[in-house]
Amino acid sequence: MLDSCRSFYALRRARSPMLRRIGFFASALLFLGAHAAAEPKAAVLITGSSTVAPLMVEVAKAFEKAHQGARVDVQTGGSARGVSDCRAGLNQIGMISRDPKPDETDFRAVRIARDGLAFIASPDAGVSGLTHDQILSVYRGTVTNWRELGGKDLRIAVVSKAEGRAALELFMAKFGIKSSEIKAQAIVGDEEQAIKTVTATRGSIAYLSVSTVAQAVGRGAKIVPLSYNGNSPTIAAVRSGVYPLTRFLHLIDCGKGTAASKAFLDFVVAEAGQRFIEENQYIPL
Amino acid sequence: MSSPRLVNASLKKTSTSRSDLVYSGSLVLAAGLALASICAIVAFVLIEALPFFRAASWPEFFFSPAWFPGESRFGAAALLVGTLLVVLGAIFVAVPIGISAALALVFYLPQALASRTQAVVEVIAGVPAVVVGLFGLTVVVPLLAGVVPPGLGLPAASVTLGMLLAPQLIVNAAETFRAELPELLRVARSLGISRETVILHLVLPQRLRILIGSSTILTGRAIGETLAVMMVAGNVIQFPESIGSSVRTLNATIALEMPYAEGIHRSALAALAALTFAVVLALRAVVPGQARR
Repeated sequence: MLDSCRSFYALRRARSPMLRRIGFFASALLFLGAHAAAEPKAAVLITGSSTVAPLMVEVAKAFEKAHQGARVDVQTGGSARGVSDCRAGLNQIGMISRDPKPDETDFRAVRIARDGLAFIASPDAGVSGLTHDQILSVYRGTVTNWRELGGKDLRIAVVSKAEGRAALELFMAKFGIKSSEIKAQAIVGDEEQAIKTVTATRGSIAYLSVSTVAQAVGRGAKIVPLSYNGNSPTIAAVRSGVYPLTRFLHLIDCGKGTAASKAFLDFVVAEAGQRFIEENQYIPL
Repeated sequence: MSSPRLVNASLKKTSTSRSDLVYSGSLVLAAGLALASICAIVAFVLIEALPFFRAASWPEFFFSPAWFPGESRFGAAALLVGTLLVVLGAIFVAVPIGISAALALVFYLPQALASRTQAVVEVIAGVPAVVVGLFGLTVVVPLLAGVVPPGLGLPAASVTLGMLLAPQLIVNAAETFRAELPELLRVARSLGISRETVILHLVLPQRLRILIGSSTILTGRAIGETLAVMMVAGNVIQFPESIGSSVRTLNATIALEMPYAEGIHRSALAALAALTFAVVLALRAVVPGQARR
């Protein structure tokens, strides 16, 4: 690589100006390429769930501060990517926002935090809480106006999540509903899109993770977290186990990790990491 | 579309000097690379889609609106219809704006104002799709909510995509109108023909084919546009029941589901990508090309 770089560099003495120019660009490109390739492999790459990723970004910063020379990169792409990357050896640690499935025995899943499924509505709905059955009838499309739920006379805009998203799977599992039975007016992808859609759409309802809701409320987003069977979806309620719609967030390790990635895993579950999880509005174990 | 005069001039200047050899060589290389990468992408998509094509029920894929990967149901009909409707709606929004704005730029605005406006339009044409999508979500959707609640859906997607396409269309159309314009106007003025007559009876009919051609290229881009549409279309998979219905496009499905797709689901998404290819190619084949005049 460097040799060809040098030979292109030698072109700077060439007679033709075009050749000189080509020589310059090619040697510059090869030089940069060689540099990128020579980058040390000590970096830890973490990929997976978009629910877990923002937290990992914060923990990564703290980890890099505590460990000189360590580098942690976090990329989202969903729990499925976390698992497939892990199996293929494309990452050192995967993030999944669900419990490992019974057949997923080829990796070690480490519980790092709890999360809950929260329902939110736009403020104009005029409702502050719903029961299990009310939520089911809204998502089945049998109730279509907030008035029937004690709110304003306003059509309900049902927001659901795209196929394969962890929140959808948790919702389907906890409510015993199939995705073909959900009658939605809007389907969204990641958590941010859910929040943006609810703030922009009149009379909308959506479900997403409790920690995302806490973060959004913290920065003043115009959403109303709905209580479920009388339980508010707060971080404290999830932690104490009062709030029933909960799940664990995991990091997974397929045995292809490095010393740095093992240190990172230890860091997350240790006291410092857990305190960090709490500070970032996530829910410690 | 280089004129023969230009080609001659550059040929005359060329000798068999080495620099030119390197230059033309690198051009051929670049063109070859572009072609090869497109072929590689097509091959990749087809290979990814192969497991689905083997296992798929073709009638279901083409005629069923039921897309529930979790239940192993892969009907792409509603996605195809949704894509075509959104693009049609966007053309409906963008073409009148584009053509009339271009006419204003070329025939009505004073020169100084026109060139500045054109510069602004060119900048707007470069605004990233996600910004336009955010504008659609925070401005267009609430406005439409009063007319076609809940606001997310076909109209919002059409308007947003139309806004995304309009600036480029204005630039293209203005370019088209401007060609050979001075002579045309001079002759018209000497004959006492009004500007409106020139536009309606000379410019528009004469340039129609070129306009359709450049609109077709834009349509290809419109079919490919994913993010902005995904933010405002509502994305429910169904045949639209009314004009305000929520729609899902082919590409929105790929973007929404790819991060979480495994196995046959992933392969089915690649099949959607192949379908998008086919739609764009079919469009190019049907609509008259830019080159013919």
